[in-house]
Amino acid sequence: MTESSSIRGGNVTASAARGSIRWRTSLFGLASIALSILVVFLVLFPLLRLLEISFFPAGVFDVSALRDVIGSAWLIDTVSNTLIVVAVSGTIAIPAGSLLAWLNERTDASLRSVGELLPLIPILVPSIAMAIGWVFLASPGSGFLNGALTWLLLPLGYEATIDIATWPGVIFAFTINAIPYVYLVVSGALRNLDPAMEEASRISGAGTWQTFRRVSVPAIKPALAAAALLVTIIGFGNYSIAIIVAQRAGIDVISVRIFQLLTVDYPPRFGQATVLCIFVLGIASSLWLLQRHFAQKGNFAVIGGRASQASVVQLGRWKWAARVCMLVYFACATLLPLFALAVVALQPFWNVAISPSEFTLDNFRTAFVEHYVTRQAFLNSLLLAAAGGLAAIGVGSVIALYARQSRSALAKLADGVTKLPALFSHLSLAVGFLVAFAAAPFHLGGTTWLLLLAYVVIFMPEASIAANAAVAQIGNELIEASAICGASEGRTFRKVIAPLMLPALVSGYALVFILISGEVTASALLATNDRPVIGYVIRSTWDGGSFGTLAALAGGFAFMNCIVALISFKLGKMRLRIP
Amino acid sequence: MSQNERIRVVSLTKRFTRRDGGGEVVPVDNVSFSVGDREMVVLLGPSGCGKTTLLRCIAGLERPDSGQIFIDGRLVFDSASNIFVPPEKRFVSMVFQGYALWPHMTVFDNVAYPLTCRNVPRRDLRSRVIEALGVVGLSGLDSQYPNQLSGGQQQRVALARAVASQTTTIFFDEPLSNVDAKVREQLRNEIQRLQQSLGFTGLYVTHDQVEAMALAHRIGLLREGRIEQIGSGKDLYWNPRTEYVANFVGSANLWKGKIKASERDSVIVQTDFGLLKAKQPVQQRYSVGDSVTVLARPEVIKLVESPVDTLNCSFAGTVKHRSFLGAYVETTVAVSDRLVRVASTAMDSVPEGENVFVEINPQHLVLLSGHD
Repeated sequence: MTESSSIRGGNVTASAARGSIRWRTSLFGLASIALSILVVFLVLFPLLRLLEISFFPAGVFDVSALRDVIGSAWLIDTVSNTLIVVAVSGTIAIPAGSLLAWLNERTDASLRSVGELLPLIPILVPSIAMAIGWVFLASPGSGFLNGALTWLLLPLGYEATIDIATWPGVIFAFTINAIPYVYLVVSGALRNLDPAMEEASRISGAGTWQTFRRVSVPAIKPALAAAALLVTIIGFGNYSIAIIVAQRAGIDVISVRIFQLLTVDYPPRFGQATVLCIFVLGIASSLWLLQRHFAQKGNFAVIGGRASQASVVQLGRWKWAARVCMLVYFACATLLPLFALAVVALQPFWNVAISPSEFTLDNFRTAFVEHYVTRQAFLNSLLLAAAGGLAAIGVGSVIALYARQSRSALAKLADGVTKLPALFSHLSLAVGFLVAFAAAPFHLGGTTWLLLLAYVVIFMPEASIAANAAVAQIGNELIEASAICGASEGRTFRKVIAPLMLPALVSGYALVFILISGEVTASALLATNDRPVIGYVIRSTWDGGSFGTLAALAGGFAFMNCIVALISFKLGKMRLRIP
Repeated sequence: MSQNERIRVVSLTKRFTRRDGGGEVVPVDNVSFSVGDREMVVLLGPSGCGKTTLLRCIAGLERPDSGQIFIDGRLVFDSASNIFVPPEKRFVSMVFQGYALWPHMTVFDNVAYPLTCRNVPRRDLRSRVIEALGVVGLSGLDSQYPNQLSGGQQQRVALARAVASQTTTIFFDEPLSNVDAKVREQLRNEIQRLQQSLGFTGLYVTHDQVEAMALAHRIGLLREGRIEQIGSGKDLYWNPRTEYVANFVGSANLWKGKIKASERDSVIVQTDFGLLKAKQPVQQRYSVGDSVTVLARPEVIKLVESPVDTLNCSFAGTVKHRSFLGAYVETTVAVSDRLVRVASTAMDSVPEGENVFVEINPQHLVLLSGHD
């Protein structure tokens, strides 16, 4: 700081020029302060409104909403169902995802393409498409897997039926959905873990398994805790799988209940819905505090790895078994559901017998040509994604630059608040937006603005991480070197800062674009028939459309996501990071 | 295989295919050598010479492509019969460059780890860990976590972990390159002391010739995956087989020449700046016309005002450059168009620009056959 100010102090530029620099600096400063206040407001106000509606509906402390929830007949079932689904699927997904990550990062079973694609699965195949695909695969009678099982087993005299709409089916779907998030966090941690740690263990006489158990896993405990937190947040907040699979199985979970209180019950029971949201937020926040406490207490300083030197763990005869496991997971999460969607979309009727001769594009015509709302929805979603991505990245960059330059409390607060939405499920945020901005004094209910604001806030953490990464690429020395060479601040920004930040910002933009266009939960709650978006249309077709149209929609949706993801891969190496 | 040999490497080769498809790298190229009981062998070489890969092959962290490795008489790798004993079954210890301490374990647990892996009974465990920590001077730090220690202390923990286990073979992979100069010297002395008192067999990889000289019973100098010369430090310094060895170990004046006359115990060599007299080597006799390279270490050359000793060869020159290095002064003297490096004590130094004579005792010149 003193260096740069002394440089400026010693500068003998004409006072007019110095004035203009100051003016520009303060303009940037003012814009940063204004944006920071706006972001803090947009994130915190809905949360405060959730609390207000729950406990201060008429301005005074009132627990009637809480009493209603506690007194309701569904409470025990709904809460215990949710806890069981989240706990069991998390308990399976964390070891499974970690094992997949370890196999791919450290062993000779590693498959490059699986390693690259696995963390992207939730983006390539949105969970609603995956859930619908599994309904087509594993429903009694007409599910394709049941057809295959009958064909295989009947000649042997056996009979077997699998049904996704059962307890094991629901847990299976939640597990499949959670694994990529675990994989992402754990593979990142393994990549940062110095392979010498594991080699030292081998030299000490520990075998592959003992090393995995006593060194690799404990050394990445913070990542495992983070994965557990993430899986819990995603599990509680997941609405897509819940509405498709759990509801079909007659298993009531919190996310579906919140929707029901707000959209099915009349008049909407805002108080009860917000109480449930606060319950979910409370669980996520306490887990977050626990995880932070845990991460700070432990000794997990990791020395930078020399990954190129890592000796690959030889699995011997287990190598192929491990590869089969990876491919089976990959098929369950992507290929099989996509296959089912494609077949149902192409057939006139959902039928266990696949007959390519009858394939027709009728369902696609119904879904995309005849149905005006769908067309409008795809268009709206793409526009919202384009605008929302720009807004999120723009705001994220300004705040990241501001937080770097200024040490004010506001800068710190704004930087922290941009990461906060990661802790809350889309559903809680959407409910918060509904109760905060839909009615007076904002009157944004049913408008595209409400959706846009909600999207920007929901994906602010991802945008902010991309922006922070972009800012981090510019060392202070680079800016100082530019100043030493006599460049003005404007020139430094144009010639040094902007070109260095741009690639990271472009890939961040692509990520936020895909996330917004694929968002289902907030879309289903906040969009209307007049202002439809993709998530909303799929959700309402599930309630009242033909299976063929639904398959065409979900398939088209997944296809669009894949295309957009591929384009952004081409544009710049898209980086996926969990806040 | 002789009784006191602990490690034996036979025709070991390891190849890597370049990632960009640009052919093959051979970091270990048909290497054979052995390490005796209680012997410390240092593999020395510049970065990229394959010394670390060779060590990792012997430790079992890399799988070589061909050759054999014996540890304590047991065949642990043989490409012909497809034997590959994994590192955990080779019964060795290793000290890593980056310490490789497990951050989630205390110092005690780190040191105890190899013992628990090898099923040492609980009652022996504690005393052995405490003893090992005492040996490396870390008594009382057993309940600390690695990240609470300095770099030097962390490497001491790694050292304790290596000596606490029951193995008597310890591999060192550039263990001192991550600590600063003073600590490096301390730890080097420590390793030397431990090696003498505990009597373990060591194989040590480094690029630092001072470290190698100080620690080694024998140094294996590596060049592009091959052992260029193996022998004691003194041997490599005074009897280098090639110019590469002469240059890598210490500093050297190397002059190309031809044998002009050959007698029973001396030869005359014609060099660019005149005739030089040198001893006839015992093991190899040179005859007239042979190409040789003359090696003169800077400290065997004297600077004198006028030639004194007629038995020595003297050449007139001018002092071009002088660097004061504390214990000695390094002087560069131009003799005709050649630069000669001379190391002398600070008291004998001559100012820049002065005319001097360089005087060389034939007894201290070394002849290398041919040119590199």
